[in-house]
Amino acid sequence: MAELFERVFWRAIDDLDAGEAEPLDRYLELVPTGQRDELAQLLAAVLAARGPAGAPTPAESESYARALAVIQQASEANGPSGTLPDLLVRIRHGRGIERETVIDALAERFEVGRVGQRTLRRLYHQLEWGQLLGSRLSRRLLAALGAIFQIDERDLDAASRSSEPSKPAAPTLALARGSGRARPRTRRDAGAETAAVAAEEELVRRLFTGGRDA
Amino acid sequence: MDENERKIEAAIGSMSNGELEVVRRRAAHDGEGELLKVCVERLTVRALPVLVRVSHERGRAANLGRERVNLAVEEATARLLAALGRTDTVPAVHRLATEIATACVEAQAAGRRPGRPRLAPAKPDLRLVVDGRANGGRQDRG
Repeated sequence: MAELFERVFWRAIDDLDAGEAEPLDRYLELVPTGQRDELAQLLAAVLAARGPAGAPTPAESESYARALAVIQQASEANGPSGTLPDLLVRIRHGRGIERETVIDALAERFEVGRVGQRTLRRLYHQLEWGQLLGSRLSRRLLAALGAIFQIDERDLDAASRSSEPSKPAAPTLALARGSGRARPRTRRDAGAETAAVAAEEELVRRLFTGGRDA
Repeated sequence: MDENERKIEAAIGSMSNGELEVVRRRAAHDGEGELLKVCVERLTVRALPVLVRVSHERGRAANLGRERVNLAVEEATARLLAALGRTDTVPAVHRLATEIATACVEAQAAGRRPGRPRLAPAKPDLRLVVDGRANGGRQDRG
């Protein structure tokens, strides 16, 4: 019996510490009737000793205002990739990371060459601008972004889901075909190079638009 | 906001965090985007005191300036909103806020130190070591 009393008391204290306290009645109901007064007095003593919660400092007030602005912005986001674009841009800007740095990191992870990087750059840009369908982003891409930014990829997955019913994204730009490349030396070289370029572009395209399992 | 939305807002506003978490998880599981959004925003607002306090405490400990702490708060808020949208079970919102705020302050502290990479390394540069020599590296010609 004493064990139950003690367990309920510490649960109440833990909840208070976590800022998740239930109404005190709910804790009192968990102990036998005969112990409720004692528990109420004990909890009252703890609350009295702690005093009222302190008012936020001016610095904290500024933080509250900025946090509320983030919530407001997320609330207004209704693009096809949910709040993911805002999240990526906010992290990048907040940590002072250039977009090119992220693109280079992605290119390195997926071993994308110079030609594929053009497509990668364009699609990443479209992702940050909310022009891609969040549901079509591949799990591999989300995992790579999660690793790069050190965020759980499941959070990125959740952020990429739109709260609106599915609607078509803005049309994506046509993939680059490498028209500015130097003329290949032989027909065989040309064929091999064209195939390599096509494979790279296909890889990048699937990462950004192929769906979760691509 | 129409009458129905006002009623939903009022009902959600009167819920405890535990009750709201149950509704959030159900909405995420059932793909009820609008309800999920309301739950996530409400839980995030309720977690702000913890998120802000932890960011300031950790920021002070790491000697971060006011602007860097605010950047950490902004990132933590955005990440908390994202995390609460997950369909699987996530930790209680205050614990989640504490963990995320701590990570965001650490990211700011890491970015402030000169020469520190702000991104995770792409791949670990590891080689098998055989008989004290790196395998796959250049080998001396005999």
